[in-house]
Amino acid sequence: MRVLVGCIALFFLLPDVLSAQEIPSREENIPYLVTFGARASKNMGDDDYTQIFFFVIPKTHNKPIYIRVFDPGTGGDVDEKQGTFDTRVRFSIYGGDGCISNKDARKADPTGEYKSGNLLDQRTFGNEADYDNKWYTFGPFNPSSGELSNKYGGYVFKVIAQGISGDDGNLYKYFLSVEKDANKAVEGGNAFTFEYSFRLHASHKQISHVYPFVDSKVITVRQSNFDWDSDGNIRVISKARKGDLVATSGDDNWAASSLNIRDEEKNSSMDVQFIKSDEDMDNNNVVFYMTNQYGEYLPFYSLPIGGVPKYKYSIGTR
Amino acid sequence: MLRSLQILIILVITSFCGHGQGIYSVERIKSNSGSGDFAPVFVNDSIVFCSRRAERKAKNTLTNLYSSRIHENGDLKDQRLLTGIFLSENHDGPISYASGTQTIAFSRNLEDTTDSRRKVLPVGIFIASYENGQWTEPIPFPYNSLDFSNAHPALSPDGKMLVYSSTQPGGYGASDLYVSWYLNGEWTTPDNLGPEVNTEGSELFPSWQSNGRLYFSTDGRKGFGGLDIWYTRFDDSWVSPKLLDEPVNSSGDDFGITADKFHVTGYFSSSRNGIDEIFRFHYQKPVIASCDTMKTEEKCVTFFENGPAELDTVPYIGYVWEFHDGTRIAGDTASFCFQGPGSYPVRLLVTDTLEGYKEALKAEYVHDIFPDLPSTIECSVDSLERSCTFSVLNLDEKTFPIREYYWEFSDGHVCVGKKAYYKVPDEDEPYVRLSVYARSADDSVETTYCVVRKLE
Repeated sequence: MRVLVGCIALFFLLPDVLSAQEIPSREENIPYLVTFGARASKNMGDDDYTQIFFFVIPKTHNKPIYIRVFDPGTGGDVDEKQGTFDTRVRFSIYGGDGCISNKDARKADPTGEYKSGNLLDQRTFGNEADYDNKWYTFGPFNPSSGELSNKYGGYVFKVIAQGISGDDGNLYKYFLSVEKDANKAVEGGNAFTFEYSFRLHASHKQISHVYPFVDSKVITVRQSNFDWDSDGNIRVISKARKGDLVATSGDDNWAASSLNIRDEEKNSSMDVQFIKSDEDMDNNNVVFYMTNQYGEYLPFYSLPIGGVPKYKYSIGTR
Repeated sequence: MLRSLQILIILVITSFCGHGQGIYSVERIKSNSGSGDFAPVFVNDSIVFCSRRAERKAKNTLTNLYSSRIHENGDLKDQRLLTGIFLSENHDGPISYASGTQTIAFSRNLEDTTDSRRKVLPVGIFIASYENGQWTEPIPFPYNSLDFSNAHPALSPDGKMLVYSSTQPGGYGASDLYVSWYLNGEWTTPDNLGPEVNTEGSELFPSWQSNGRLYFSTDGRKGFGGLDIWYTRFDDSWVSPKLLDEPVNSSGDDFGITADKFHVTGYFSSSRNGIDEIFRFHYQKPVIASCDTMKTEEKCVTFFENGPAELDTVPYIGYVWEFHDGTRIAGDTASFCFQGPGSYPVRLLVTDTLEGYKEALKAEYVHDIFPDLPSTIECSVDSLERSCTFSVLNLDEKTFPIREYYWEFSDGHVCVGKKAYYKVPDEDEPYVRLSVYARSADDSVETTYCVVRKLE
């Protein structure tokens, strides 16, 4: 019962605008997710050639859902070419028991039983012009074919994008839709990941965000970023934190640092800002995750729980 | 209700010091007879009042005078008919008592020896003194007349001034207030209090307060309805009367007010329940959680962002502080000196070079500068040299409204109001303590201050 209550509370914390189920979301201002082929050098900005996303369907939703992928293939103008396009990326949809509840599914590294659950659909894309700059649709799926999770607020589906071969970068987006041929959001739906691999904007004027949710048991968090290429600053803000700069990585390496969590930050989202340097930089991809003091990975919600956190300034006197 | 001077006689002695919004309570005393009780007056430690109750001993049902003991709960106990010089075959009362000379004055119907069949008798004033353990035979006020009524005498505490209500011709209304002075063993020719006090209506039930304030009732001014209680003061001339607030005044007739020597508790009469009854009022002393000595508020203030700045790494965030007069100060903190009391808006503009915005308004604040609260209590002797006018200096009420002034004297006397009129207590170390209840202009801040002044 305690879990259920907590879940309901979490659900009511969802922001008002629930239609933006494009992943990455407008709030994140991330141009594309990225997954490289298995033979790519890690200094391309992908540490494990795998990206795992989870989609949450509210229990009240009883109509079929679709998981759509924009530009699932690796070729054309969007993707990052290394020599010739020879990369194949496999998208696998999982539901059912263990989809999210298996602890290996909630890690950053694709090891162990991270492919837990029932495989509902799978397709591998290469350099295919049919889906270049277009949407490919998985589904329909019955919501109940996901794994019911009170903790995450509904039926959970898992999508694993994995670079099978080649060395190019596949750039893509998702959309959780109620329609097969159009992007129409699932009311109350959301999406999250425990490790983000994404492409940064080339323009230095752009700031990308990810929004980790800090639950009540978190005391400290440790952020880790890979292959930031020293492209500016990464800053964490929250409603009780006006700005903490964190350690940043260079080329092909990891950097990590810790933050103590303040009581006001618990049960709310933080805003991790990726603030580029003063100069434009093309093709910078980065990997980012956070763990708590127990080594558990924090979920990054596309629609931040509780809304986009803003530090509330106040004036004191003496 | 019979309140015509042709029939009734009334008096009151003293009144209470001040008035203030909502700090005194009013309750009907339980021992009202239900036949009409009114015009209570403190006579030493007892209350004398008028009643129209049936009285076998009086052999009539006219207005008679009664005395009573004040019970600890404020009720009037052991009520008994006043006999002797106070009892006649006509209406007796009300009464007035001058403690300084142990003199009483009361109203009573006159006897018309020229016309024994006359049914409506005018009212006159009679005066007696307490000498050698008994009351002397009442002496008629020399200006009584069979042609009109003089009633409702109000002796000043020193017994030298008599204000009363009269229907004599030449007044401003149905009945006016007149004053006569006791000089060289005689009462001077009465003077009309004039248009500052008297109206086209009826002015009735005057009563003196020991600090020189005269209370009376009138239906000739806009109040709460019926007779309302007003007060004035003689300061070379009669000053413009002021209306007592609710709950003493009501939509009924409110009249005949008296107070104890400390002006904490008193009685008055009212017809608010349909019949004349006596009510008790009692000051509810405000609760002062912490009463500091009045002080001057700091006018120079340092402002800072109230967040956990020491915990954050914020090299790219800059602050600009903007003040009401256009002053802009850049920096983590800003020190600013305000010119005087008031409510001043302060704005915090934040520049975040990382996010690339400049001077976004992030916080607003209103800083209240309290006035120089009274460091000085002034005491100026009034023209009659009987009491002081106490007042405070350096208050700017436009920018910082004072909601209540509460004066407490060392002898227990209390006053409410911007000024207090009272004599210096006759004590070894007399003092007055002023408590001020104030709110900021936007009603957001409430404070209490107090200051004590030793009186010589």
